[in-house]
Amino acid sequence: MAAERDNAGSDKTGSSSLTPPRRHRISLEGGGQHVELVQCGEGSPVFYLHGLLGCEGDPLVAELAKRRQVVAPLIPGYGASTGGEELADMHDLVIYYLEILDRLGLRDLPLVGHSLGGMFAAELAAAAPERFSHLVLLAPFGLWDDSEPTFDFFAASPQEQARAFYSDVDSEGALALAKAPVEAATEVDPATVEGRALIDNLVERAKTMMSAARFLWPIPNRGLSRRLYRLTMPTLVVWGANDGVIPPSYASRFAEAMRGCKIVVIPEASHMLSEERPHDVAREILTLIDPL
Amino acid sequence: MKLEMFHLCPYRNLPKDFREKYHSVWVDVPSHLFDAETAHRIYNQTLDELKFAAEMGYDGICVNEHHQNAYGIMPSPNLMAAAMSRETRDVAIIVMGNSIALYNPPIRVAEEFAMLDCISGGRLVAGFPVGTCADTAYGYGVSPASLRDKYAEAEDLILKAWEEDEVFSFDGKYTQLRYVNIWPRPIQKPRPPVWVPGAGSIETWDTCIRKGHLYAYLSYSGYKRGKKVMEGFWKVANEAGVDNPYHAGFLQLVCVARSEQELQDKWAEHAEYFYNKMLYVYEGFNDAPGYRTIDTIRAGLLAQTISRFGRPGVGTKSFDELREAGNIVAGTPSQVTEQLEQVIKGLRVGHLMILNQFGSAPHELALENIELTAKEVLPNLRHLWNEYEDHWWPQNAIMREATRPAVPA
Repeated sequence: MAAERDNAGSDKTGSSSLTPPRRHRISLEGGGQHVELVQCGEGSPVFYLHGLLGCEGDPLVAELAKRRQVVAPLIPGYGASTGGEELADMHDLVIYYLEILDRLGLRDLPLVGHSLGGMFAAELAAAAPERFSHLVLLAPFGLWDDSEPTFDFFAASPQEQARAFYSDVDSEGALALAKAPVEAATEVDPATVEGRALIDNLVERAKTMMSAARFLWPIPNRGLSRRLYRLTMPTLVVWGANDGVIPPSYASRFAEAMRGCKIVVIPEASHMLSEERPHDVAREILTLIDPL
Repeated sequence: MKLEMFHLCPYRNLPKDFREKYHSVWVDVPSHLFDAETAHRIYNQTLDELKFAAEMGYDGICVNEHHQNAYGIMPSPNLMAAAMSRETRDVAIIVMGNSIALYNPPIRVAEEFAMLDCISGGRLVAGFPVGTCADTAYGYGVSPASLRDKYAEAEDLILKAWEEDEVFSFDGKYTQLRYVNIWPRPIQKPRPPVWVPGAGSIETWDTCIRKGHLYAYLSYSGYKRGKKVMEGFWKVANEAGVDNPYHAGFLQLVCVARSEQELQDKWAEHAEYFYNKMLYVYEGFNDAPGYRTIDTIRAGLLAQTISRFGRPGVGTKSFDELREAGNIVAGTPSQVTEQLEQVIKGLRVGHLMILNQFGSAPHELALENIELTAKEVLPNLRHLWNEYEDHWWPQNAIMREATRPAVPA
């Protein structure tokens, strides 16, 4: 593997007492995509797929890295990861992740996914269950219930998004989300410094949401329910009790379809449970994958 | 210069307090506000107004496609165009157009447009819009990130279906067909002219120049704000050595009256209805992720045709403010002639699509406006760009033969 080291990445997961996250980039052969990998901690690896809002400064990664090595590829469109347009469907996406695992020589390891990454993790594990020792789904997308639809965050204002994603609207994450500029209302002059900064911000968000929309638009259901029965490894489904994006009732829909699946509901947490309650979430994950 | 009458077919009877009580005029506009008997009247008045425009001397009549939208109740403009193909004899029938990424398989468009071309005797102009965000991503559920790719593939398929003489197979990413062989074929050879309505995406400029399609900037913002977009188009065009004004078209709201007083009395409330009520679109429906391309965001261009006046929480505008901003060209025949000449020359467009009915304007007033515009404004503009040739217009249309055999004595 010709991993190219890039130490320029910022380290915001400062709460880790261990080595700071390392950022690598690898290139895949088939589709030619570039993958940005965040790697953190030491020991046997855990494969982590981040959620809708990315994993910049994700405190859960830092928490897990206290006990394990976390390997977190950024979803195409996020950070320096490219090539979302090459992934036409779920089949392409699964092959994409298998290719990354092969390149890194990873097998028989725990797989953890949050939100959008949770949907990807479930699909990946259903396609190749033999590759993963454990599966943890944190408020995953992937199922749909007409009577209890998921929140249409694509059409929501930043303020509405902040209220849905976070349990505490005055938290740092919620305030940052609520202040995000709105594309549609914005006509900006790229010649000015502020205009430039605003455009960069809009471009970054457009890239990530475009990528998410490939798998979540118009309804976040790509047939996962037909494949869930294959998830027979030890599995944990964790939900925030106040999830305003995907109703917590979806937890039991997942669990019903998977043998031997445990559900944990975290109080005072919404969809961003990994950020709002990183200690609690990490403890549940580690209890599953590293039982004493 | 070609002058065309454009009709949106708006629902003219929204409640006075629409803006205060409801969420959006598009996508989730409440169905209980729709009265089918009222719509019966509106559809027929719209058809009558288009026919009247043709009789009064407009060069073409335009209809367009919107979904789940109260300001445009023509989800199928082809139905209106079919009626107009029968009702008129010599004007261009401009379908502006079919959102080709929404038709599955897209050869449906090749077939229906070919039918329209045959019925009308070769008078069809084929519009291929990418489609607005609200129509495509929200109304029809197309993933915004794949919309343009799907559009491009659909266009390739439709053009090939018209131009290819032999049965062919099509192995696309979105459409696979073992046998493509449409019946009927268009009268116009190799195909009807293609117009691409755009809202300011920079990719559309490039595509139009590269493929030789007409670029029509459809905006309700008027000529003052339209200038930025048209300058962008002409920059791309000039770099490719293109300078024919007929390569471009522009939409403009126009109302004509005998005096200032008459204008205020007759038009102010309908213009305000259009901008303050009909363009009251929930912002979240205008910019699904991936609808605007990264390059367009980088260029700092707006997402939509919707002017900022229509945005919730931004406040309403008066008729005078709308005129001042150039959203509406309004005045006496000579004032309107002078302003439209500026629009045409300033934007360098060979096709001007004029909205003579908009908002809540009633039928009689629309007819009056059509007549005044057609008789006292258009004749003074038609000479413009005479030195250029219009390659984007139906050529050699045939006149319809008598459809009833003579009754034997």
